Amino acid sequence: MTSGLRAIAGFLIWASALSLLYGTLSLACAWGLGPAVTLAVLLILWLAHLALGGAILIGDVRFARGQDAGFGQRLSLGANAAALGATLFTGLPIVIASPTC
Amino acid sequence: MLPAAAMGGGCSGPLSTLDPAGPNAVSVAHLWWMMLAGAAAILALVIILFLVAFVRRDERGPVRERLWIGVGGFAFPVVVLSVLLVYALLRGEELLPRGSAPGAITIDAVSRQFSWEFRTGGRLESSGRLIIPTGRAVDVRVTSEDVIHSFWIPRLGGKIDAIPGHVNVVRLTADVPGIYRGQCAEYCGTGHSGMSFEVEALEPAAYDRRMAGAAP
Amino acid sequence: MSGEISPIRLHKELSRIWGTPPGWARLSAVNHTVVGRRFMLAAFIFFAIGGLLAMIIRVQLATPESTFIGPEIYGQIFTMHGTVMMFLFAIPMFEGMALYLLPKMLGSRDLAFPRLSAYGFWCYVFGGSILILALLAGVAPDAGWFMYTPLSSGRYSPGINADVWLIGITFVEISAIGAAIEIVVTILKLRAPGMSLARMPIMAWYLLVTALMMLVGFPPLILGSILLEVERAFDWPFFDPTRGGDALLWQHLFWLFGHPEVYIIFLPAAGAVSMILPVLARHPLIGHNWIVVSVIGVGFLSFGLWVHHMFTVGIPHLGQAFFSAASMLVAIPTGVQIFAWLGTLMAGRPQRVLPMLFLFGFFFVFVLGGLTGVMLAVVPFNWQAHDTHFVVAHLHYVLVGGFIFPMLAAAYYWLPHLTGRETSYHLGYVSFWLIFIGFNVTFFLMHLTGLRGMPRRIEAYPAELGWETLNLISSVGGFLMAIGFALFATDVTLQMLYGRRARRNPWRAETLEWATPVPPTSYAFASLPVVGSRRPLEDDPDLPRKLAAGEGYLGFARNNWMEVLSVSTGGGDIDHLVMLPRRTFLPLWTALATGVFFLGLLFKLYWLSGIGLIVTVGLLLRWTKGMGLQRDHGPLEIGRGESALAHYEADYPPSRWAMIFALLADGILFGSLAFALLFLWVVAPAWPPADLISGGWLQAFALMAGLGASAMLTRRAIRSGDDATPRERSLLLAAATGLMAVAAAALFFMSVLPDPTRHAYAAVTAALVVYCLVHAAVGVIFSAYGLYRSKTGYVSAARRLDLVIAQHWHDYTFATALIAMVLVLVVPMVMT
Repeated sequence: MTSGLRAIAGFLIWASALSLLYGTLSLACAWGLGPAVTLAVLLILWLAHLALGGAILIGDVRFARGQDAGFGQRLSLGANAAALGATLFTGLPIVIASPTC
Repeated sequence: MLPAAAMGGGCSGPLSTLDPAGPNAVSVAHLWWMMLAGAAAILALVIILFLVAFVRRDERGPVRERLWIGVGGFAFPVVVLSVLLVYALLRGEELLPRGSAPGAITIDAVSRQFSWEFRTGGRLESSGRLIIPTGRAVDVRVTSEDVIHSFWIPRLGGKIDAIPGHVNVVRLTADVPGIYRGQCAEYCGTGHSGMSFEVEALEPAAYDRRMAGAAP
Repeated sequence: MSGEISPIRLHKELSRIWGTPPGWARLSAVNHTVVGRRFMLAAFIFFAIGGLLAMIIRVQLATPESTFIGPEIYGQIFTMHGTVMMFLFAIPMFEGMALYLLPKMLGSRDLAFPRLSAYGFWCYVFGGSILILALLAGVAPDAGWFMYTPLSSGRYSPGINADVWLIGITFVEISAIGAAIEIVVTILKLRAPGMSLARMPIMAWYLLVTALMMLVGFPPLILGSILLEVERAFDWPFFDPTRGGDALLWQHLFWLFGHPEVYIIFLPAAGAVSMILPVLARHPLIGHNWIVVSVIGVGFLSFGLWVHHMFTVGIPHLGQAFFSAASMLVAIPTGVQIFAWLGTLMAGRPQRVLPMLFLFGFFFVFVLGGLTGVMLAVVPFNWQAHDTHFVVAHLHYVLVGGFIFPMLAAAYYWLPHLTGRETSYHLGYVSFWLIFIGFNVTFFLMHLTGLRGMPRRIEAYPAELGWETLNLISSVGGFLMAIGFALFATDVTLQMLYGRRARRNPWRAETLEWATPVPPTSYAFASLPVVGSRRPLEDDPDLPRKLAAGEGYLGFARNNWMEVLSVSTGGGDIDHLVMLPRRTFLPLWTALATGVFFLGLLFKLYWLSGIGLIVTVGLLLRWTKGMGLQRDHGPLEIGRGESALAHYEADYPPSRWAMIFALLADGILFGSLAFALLFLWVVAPAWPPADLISGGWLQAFALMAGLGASAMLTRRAIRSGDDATPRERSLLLAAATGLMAVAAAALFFMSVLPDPTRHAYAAVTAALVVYCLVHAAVGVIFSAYGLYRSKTGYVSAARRLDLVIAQHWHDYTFATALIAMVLVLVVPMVMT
């Protein structure tokens, strides 16, 4: 059970990132927070999710190196690596598009 | 596009996005042609690889899984999509109605089943005919009084939905004077296919005269 | 008991227990082979109906300003075309394929919940019939297959048409949710011993992800449909911007479902490709583990794309950009699969046979569709192409390419298995070329038609816009395609009736479905195999004969039980013995009662719905009659000298998992409702409302106390072990506290809430309270049922399954009620 959850942890983080980034932008626009504050909050959220995803991935890499990596461990490693890349790509617009409403 | 050219008129037409008459539409049309070229190349690659697999070869080397999955499935799309994303976002930013453009005009477009009303400066212009100057940004504030409609002048730029309870803004510019066609682009009931409108783009001087002449 | 029986005798005894007799008894079938075939046949019939509707569209659009049909009927035609294809064809077709293939591929005798699949089939047929009958009566839904509000609200669609969609589709969705739960539990638990997740056929991974996507993706639509129907019937203004509602709420709820839906349709077909292509290429699938990662990736990523259907509604550009990025991203796991398939072909010696030709059709059409999809993910381009025929072209390329072509390949590939007859492919080649050429003629130039400005869903267009030649070409192509499909249907029918008897496994495939007799017996496997790798038939080509001789597990028939084995989720070690329910007419009666419930809602005869609901609940309880053991049996023999507990005495039997996954879906529905409240508060005009709730703390407390007590008392009942008296006392008390919770919720609804028709705030708040009330009421039924089971001797310390399942329900109800009460009580305080 826990190994199953570990394998999808990275994508759950990605889902959280997308929801929070989009939701925060909507709230920022509704509450008139202004571009600077919006950008700052979005950046912090994005980087926090990247850090969390990265930490899980590092754990996967260490675990896979430490012993004979079974199917479950390799699956976890691949899925969490892919998810980290997804979180990076999905949040990329923060540094390209303008944080205006 | 040879078969298309044979279809009489190639890409032109009163509602054609491929016959652009303003900078927004031009930008998107260019983007389309580039994407078409890229897509054609990728499709050709995939089909050629498929067919080559059927050519009988006696020597089949070791499977290069890393090449197929790592390069074909991963590295290649990542590079292409990253470039596309950055380019797309930058283009999109240019089209937004941000800040006030010099000499911009604001027009309110109110839609209902199944007609359009345009007002400039609070004054009802006309139903069904939008009058704009060339060479200046026109911010159209679009809303609906009943169901969702969509405001679209393909030769000038992208569309924006008319949603009851909301006001959405689209910024368009016409380069060349003339009559353009617009239409509702969101299914709104049995009169949807007839819910079109005309856009008359006038040289700035002619536009000012028309606006002055129409004042009470 | 095992090993002494002859294969013929074993076959006879198993057939007697597992088989479906002829005549009226056919309606009592719960067998996966029978129900799977029925799903596929019904789906094909709906496909033909959808295709006919498409032909009408193409006739209408072939010429400018056509007067063949008017706009009112045209609205019904295009709405029904989309609705039938998406809901009544695509999903049920893959469900049928999954039901038929899964147990055999996994080395099991049947699915986890045979009666649930039968019930689902009937719900699908009855719900679909409601829609088709409405079409024939001229009152079919006509606001588009995605039914945008306010057009579909009561004010602008006053007739019964929209209600037909909302109620009919929800009826069909019960079938989908049930199938999803069954597929997930079957894949996780009912595999052959030794079949770890790593050794599972790749199709099982695709179906597992797809089924989980259904559990998460369908509830937002179900909630949206309920809200819209309540708005239409009782004037609760969820989507009315003049009273605090918002049209966009519907769009978010719909597309949260709608985008995953198309991947739910694509993934099983891709699974078929992953199964068929390596066999025909005579080389194992390369990149197997990366494909599994990609499928999981697609499963998750597809939930992050939905706003790309809404790029023109006025969302901030940066918000759109997130979804643009995610939409492009999903091309990567798709691309990994494409290149893995190409690599497999290149590494193998691919055969030029008919299924391979259909796979070529898949590659061409689907990749082209995927490429236009990436184009549509580009926001500025989307602003021009959205709602034009460019999108119509794109969606048909990905759906026909990504689903139809693989399904046609799968049909020809597995036809020998289904029929046990040799397949001749000559007619199939003709049908392929007609379909392939016809499809491209119809839809390739349609991209240009869209870019030249032709919007979707118009029934007539003027001549001077330059669309007439393109439309005429599309219409001609449509007829070519139709002929191709008709040829395919004829071909398959003729082969089923007149083909010569075939040998087993003509493709020399290595997965277990080819180890059953062909056509398959009702019990699939006379004894269950032990699996040591991903290619069991390669490891032991003699496996089919050995299994038929009873050399595997459960190679016997006893007590008229239908038995399969449940294994551990990860490693595939034997966990316990599962006794499946035998064939019964109950699923049919229950579906009829459910139909009465829905018809009552449709025609606004709410007393009829009440009767239908009570009968349905009663029948569902009746399903449990005779299920269970009245004494502790301990470990039972399962063959090969081993033994295992019956599932009633196991810790995590299939039905417990069913409850857990059902609660997952329920939780998503609740989450969607919470989202609705927060969304409307932030986005909708006219908030905050004038009337807020007054008080309610006392009632809320009573509700939580009642629910908490029910949960605690059920725990106490389980801990009572073999002691019946304290157990039954706890359950009786749990029923009483549950009733108190129901009363508290009812009081809350009646005395604390403002009028729900005045403002969307009141409507959503009321909906949250009703949610708690309904769940509390079901909790009372669980407690009473547990009491009944205890009194009739079905409960003991070892046999506590009924109570454990109830426990999950109570815990869930308590948790969601807590969140609901916080939302209902705290949000007004923050709003003012």
